[in-house]
Amino acid sequence: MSRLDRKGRDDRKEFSFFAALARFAVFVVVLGLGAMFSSWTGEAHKPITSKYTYNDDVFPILRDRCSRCHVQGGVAPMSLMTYEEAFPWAESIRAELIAGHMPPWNADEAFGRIKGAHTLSPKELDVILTWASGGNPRGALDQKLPPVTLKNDWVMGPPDVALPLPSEFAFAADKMEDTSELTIQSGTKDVRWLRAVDLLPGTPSIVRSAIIYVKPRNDVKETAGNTPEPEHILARWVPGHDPEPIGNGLAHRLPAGAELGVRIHYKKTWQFEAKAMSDRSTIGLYFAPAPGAQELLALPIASPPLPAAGGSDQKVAFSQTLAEDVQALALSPDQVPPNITVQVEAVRPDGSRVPMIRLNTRPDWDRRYWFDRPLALPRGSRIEVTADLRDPDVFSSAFGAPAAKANATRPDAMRLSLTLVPARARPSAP
Amino acid sequence: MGTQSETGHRDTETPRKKFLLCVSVSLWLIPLCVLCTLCVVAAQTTQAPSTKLPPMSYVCPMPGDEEVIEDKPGRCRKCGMELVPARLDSVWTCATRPLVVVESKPGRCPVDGTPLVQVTASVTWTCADRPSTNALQPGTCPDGTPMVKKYAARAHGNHNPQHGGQFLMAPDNWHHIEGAYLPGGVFRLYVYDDFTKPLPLAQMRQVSARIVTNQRFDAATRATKEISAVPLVRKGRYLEAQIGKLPLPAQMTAKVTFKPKDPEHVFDFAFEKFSKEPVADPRLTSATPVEQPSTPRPAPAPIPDAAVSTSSSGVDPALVPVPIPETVPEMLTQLRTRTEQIKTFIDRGAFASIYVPAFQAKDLALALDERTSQLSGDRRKIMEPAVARLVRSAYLLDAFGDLGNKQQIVDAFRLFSDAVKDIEASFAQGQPR
Repeated sequence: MSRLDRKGRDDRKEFSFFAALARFAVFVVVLGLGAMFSSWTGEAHKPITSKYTYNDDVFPILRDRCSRCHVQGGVAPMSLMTYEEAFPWAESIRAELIAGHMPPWNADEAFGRIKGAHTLSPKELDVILTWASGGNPRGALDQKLPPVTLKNDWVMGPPDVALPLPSEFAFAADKMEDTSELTIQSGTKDVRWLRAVDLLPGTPSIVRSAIIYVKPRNDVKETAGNTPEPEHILARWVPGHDPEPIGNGLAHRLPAGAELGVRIHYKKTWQFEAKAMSDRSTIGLYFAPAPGAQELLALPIASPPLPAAGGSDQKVAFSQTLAEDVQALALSPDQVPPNITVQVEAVRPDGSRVPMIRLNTRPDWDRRYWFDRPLALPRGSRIEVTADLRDPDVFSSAFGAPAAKANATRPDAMRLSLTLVPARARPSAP
Repeated sequence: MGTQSETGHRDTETPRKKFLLCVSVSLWLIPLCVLCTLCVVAAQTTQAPSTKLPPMSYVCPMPGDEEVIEDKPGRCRKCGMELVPARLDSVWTCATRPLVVVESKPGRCPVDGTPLVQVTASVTWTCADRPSTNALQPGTCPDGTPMVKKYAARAHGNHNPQHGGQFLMAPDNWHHIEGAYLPGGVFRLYVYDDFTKPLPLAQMRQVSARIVTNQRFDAATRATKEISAVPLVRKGRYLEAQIGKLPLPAQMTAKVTFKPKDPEHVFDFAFEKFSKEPVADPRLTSATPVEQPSTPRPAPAPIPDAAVSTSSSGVDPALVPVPIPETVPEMLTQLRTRTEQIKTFIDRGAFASIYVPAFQAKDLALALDERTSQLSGDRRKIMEPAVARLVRSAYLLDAFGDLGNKQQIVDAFRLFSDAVKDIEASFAQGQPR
């Protein structure tokens, strides 16, 4: 129309009738061909720089790697299984991946060899980061993605014995976090050997972590010194984690008539704020092929008192010396401050060093880390622990995340536990 | 879809004939939509090159949530407000007079001769006698004159220094600062909002800052000890302090608190030379954007020492895929070169440029990751996590590069170069570690 203006007012009169007709014609066409029209004149509006789309590239990764928690009814605060659910969280996804918070795997893969690492491949990481920071394109609008639903079943198949918790846990409306501590009778009449213990949440959206252990009898003293004692923690459960069945003739020993302690940490996400919830989870016991298994032992590694938070010296080093030849199998952070770095190395008597594990201790994700292969450590080997009590998360601290808050709950001392078996099998009591 | 060309020139008669033809055809054949469609398509296609409008976006109207930009109508994902349509365009303008002069490609500012800078602006069409008119497409004003194109600033649309200094964004994503080191040995600090507008005086009064010219960082305690620091004193719209003439390149750190109880933010500067306030050429002081000098003015000021300049096409250089060499040794060489480039940028204080080699190194590392079939199992176990750490730290360098806190960048670079070392070690000859 501006061209008409430039031409002059007479011309404008001359054309106005045709222009009106033309407008009508265009209107009819636009009505009839809406979809075609929009795709023809449309183009990327937002600065979309990602060559990866949700439909084609991001969804398959999220489904395969994150769907055990980030799904409707899962324990994560948001599902990521549809575009509508995922894209509002793109910035959070970017931050969590850059900071290394998600997927939740605290062990540094560059130090030591740990089984069952729950991590993203470099390519997967790059695809999601590119998508999350490059305009979050969806992909073809008419593309239907398969629905993803919560899977809540036994990862290892039905257990040999399923023990439902004796009572339902009531999670009060006014609480966001709570812990329940219950005792279950194993009901075993003889000593049994366990290759794995697992938990099946009753209400998956609130069961945040659990520890299942053999309750000590009253006459048993606390472990001290460097003598390994029977490993009484049977499982450290976190959502999305696969139980690690023990083989090679090794097993947890379950005394006859043992009582099992179950400590469950419950947490609500914002969706359930101010709602009363309940849970009745089930413990699953998997028996080892009988008989004659070798019992797993645990050796505690404890620190001296930790320095106060905020002081100038924030490094701690301590060690534990082995009194006999052992095969080291796993390491558990029993009591460690959150958001610190812990490195564990074995130093053999000949001075050779064996990297065991390096952890960034994100809260809520304590598990037992099984070494890829048992580590043969002769008598006199020293398990050296060095901890740096400052938050290693440079990303979150730079962008003002409240990391310091978690560090305020620092325990007085640190304790780790090394799961092992003596190199020469001890005769075990029946 | 208007017919006004960008240049304002009248097009040749051909499109109008097509238009007339279209009208007459549609008169007779309205029920036959298909034919008419072809006609409209033909007319549009012919005119498209000269009439293309910036694409339509939907932006959040809430102050502070302006970064929410969607490609379809809906609600703001941050505050829930209804999104409003806007056309956003990337244009070139004078650094000192944002959006007074607007060009579609790089060049020199006709007012002061400095190189034009790229900014994102929203585009509307308005009428001279009704400036409140803001149409999303060209049209005709009530008085019959064509509407004129108008550009308005967007939040985070302009991250260019206004006073010849160095420009950084605060971690709150709202404040922006510019530090200038003047030839007299004076450090001057300008503070802007997210639209790169100078902070209002009332807010400026709340800003307190000091400039640290010498400090020591203790890696063991991660504590910084300031050896010489001078408070910055407010002088009208900026803060300044006499710090004397330091040997160039001069490194210094501004520690700024925007409001009394806010956290202190750290901004590191590295000045390779003294900052030069762009001065308007007396012959060209007219601020009106339309008149251009008849002869192009020779470049008086050197191009600012941007380590990586945007390519002439206006495409972000980091988004141009790096050509991946054929062989692993060549890839490793390129990876090393990019790592050294990042180090040089950090040393020179060119933080905003770091992301380019960081992302290119990331692409090289991902390409190397596809060659791990050549490696033994043990080496693959070093390689894969190392590449993952490199990907993560490249994004970390990108995020920190915008903030300009050198210590954070150095920390991120340590993660990055450790990952590079592990990648090199996995491909090195001899026994794996």
